[in-house]
Amino acid sequence: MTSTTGRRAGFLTAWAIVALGGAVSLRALAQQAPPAPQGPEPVAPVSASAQRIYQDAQPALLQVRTLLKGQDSQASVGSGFFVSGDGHIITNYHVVSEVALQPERFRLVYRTAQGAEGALKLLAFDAIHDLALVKPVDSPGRPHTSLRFRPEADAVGQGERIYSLGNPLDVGFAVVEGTYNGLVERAFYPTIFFAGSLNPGVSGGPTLDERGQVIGINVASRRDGQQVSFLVPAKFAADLFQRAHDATPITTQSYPELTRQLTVHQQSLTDRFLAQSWRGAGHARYLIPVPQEEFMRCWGSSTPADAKGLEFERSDCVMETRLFVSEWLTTGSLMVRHEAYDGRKLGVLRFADRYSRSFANEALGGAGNKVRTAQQCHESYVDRNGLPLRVVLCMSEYKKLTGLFDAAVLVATVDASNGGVEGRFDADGVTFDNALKLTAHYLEGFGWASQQSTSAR
Amino acid sequence: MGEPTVDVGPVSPAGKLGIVEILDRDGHARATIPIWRWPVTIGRAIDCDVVLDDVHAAPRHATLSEVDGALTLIVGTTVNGAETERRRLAADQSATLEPEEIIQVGTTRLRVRRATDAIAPERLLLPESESLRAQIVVMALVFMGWNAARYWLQTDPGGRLSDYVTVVLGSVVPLLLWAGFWSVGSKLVQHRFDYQRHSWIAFAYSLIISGLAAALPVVAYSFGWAFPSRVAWLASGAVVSAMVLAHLTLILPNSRTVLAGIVGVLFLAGAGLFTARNYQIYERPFTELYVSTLAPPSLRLAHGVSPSQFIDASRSLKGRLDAHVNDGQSDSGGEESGP
Repeated sequence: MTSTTGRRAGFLTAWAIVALGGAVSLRALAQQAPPAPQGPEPVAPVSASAQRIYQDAQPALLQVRTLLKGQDSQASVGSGFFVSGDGHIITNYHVVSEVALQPERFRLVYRTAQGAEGALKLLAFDAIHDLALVKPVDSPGRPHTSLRFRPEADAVGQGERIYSLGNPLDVGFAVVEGTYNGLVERAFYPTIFFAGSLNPGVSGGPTLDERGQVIGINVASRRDGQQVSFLVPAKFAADLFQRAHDATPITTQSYPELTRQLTVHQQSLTDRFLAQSWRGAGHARYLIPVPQEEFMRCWGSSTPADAKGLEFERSDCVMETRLFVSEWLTTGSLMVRHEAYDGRKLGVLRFADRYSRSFANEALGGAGNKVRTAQQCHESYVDRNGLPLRVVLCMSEYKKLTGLFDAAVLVATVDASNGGVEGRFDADGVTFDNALKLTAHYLEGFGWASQQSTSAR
Repeated sequence: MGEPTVDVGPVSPAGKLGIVEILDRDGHARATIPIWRWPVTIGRAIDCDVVLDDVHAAPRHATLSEVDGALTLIVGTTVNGAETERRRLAADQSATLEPEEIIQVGTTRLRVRRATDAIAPERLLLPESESLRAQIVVMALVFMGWNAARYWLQTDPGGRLSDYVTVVLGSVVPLLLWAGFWSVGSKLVQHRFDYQRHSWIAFAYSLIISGLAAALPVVAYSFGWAFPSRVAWLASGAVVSAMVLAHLTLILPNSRTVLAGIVGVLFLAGAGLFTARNYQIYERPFTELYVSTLAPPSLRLAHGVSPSQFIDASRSLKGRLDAHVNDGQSDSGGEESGP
């Protein structure tokens, strides 16, 4: 499609950085020269409760560091907190992902606010909610101070003051005050919207209510906004602890378990998406599939009104939820977009030229790499209730996430000589069968607009 | 080398029996020595019939004779021996010669023609012709028009007419330079510039390439076949190879078969390398992933399948992907750091 994606591109980039969380930024931080002075911090009046909460929670707080085995230099840093007297620690999956995927290269250590240090073992992770359960290798002499989860029944009210704890940018342990703002709209999994600052390095740290109970785990923030941050609801961490507190430590590459979790995710994603009907794009001639904005967000754009050449209207719908697998891979997401072209100012031949070039201009066909195979495509004309479509389905297969695929469907209407619609549907990290089901579902979204009005009547 | 001395022997009653031609580097006769009697002696000695000024020739290097009606080369006392087109001869060896067969004595190349040999038919002289010139002009105009049309196609309405001047000239000038390059080759070897004929080749083949590059994707669109679009680059490459062969043949008309072999092998090797590279990078033979040409609907002849047929046919993708899913995985164990 034409490359006027300025707005969308900026938008996506912002989200992508966030989704990578603290790990990436901190890695850069660790590898670069010592961080530049940040300038005077704005002195927010720390309320008495923040002081009390920090004092109470501080013994349960720790920093989780991933070290490169050979040279013991830190590869990434996050935070964590004790949830049991036995020393179980909750943190983010993305804080420990290097150890989960390459245990032969990386190891985990912790450092408490008091300066105690020790090695950690990885017990379990929940990549869907970006959580991990770890535990010190050495058993403690006396029970650890731990934090309690706020019971689910005890709902948090919008505007309630909450306190995020962690070690931002490896500067030192800190408490940040903010407010609870309910759940993030259009997120695929429940995510708490925390109006407060989360910096890289606090990932995995707890966010507490006034009574010092954990309501969420720090996970991400939006780089294109201010104080728009996200927490994983505490119940998922409580579930992980319940499920895995006696688990055998992970010492080998966890791709099979990761694949199992991603397979569960793609199944619920596929089921929920297939259960939705398409909403129309309001096009006079065609039915164009545009998804419900239940867990996707759509942006529209169009050519300026005085454009001389090809005119188009564009719609981009993306899921903001993408699952973090590793620093170089996030997956488990859907994208639907289309461009409706009007080439009446161009004439038949010039329109065909632009329409072809737009159809060619797709980010596809990359070489195979260590993550995925190269793409392979199947293409054909498809007759959708009399509407002729050119359809290309391109897929690549994950090499280590066995049985998962990325699929991209390109569709172009080929009935008119001076106008048409080109659509693209992407499903990342789905099984082969689900890729085909989603493709079929997407194709069903195309048709003649007049039939829609007929069937509506 | 100086002019060879011509020994005018006693005139044969049968008249001139043939000639010995001393050839220059282009294969043209530099000197012609009539044969009035057999045998004909060749060497540096003054009493030879053909006296050579060649330090690599012996005083009595070789003798030409008729043995049972066949022209025969008999090599004398020499360290270098002699060569025919088919074999090397050492001292005291002999060989029969085919009509017009070139022999080499020292560094001198000789050709013998007998009066009794059949004469090769007259080869048609390719003259500078009016019709050829007209053809080139027509092709150049078509080519310019083609490129102007392509520029028109790719620009939005309301472009400046002056822009077309650059496009039209920009398309023709490189071809004229290309023809000039090959003409220099003709001048070196054939001693004639032959610009007209090289221009003809340049324009004719460029038109074919442009036509193919435009037509193949449209054929792919019309019939819903991916193959013509996939091989469009390869087809253009084949036509470029044929064009180079045509230029080369004009320069070296006698070596057509050898040149065709060389160009053919080079083309196949290039295509093979390209395909192998695609397999390595993209895990498929062609760079193109899918047919992106969407021509006007009136050109579409293929009918669509139903969505469910499309989905069923897509199942074959799994096997194609599975075939490569373990590529580059075997070394994952090797990534583990040592003790």
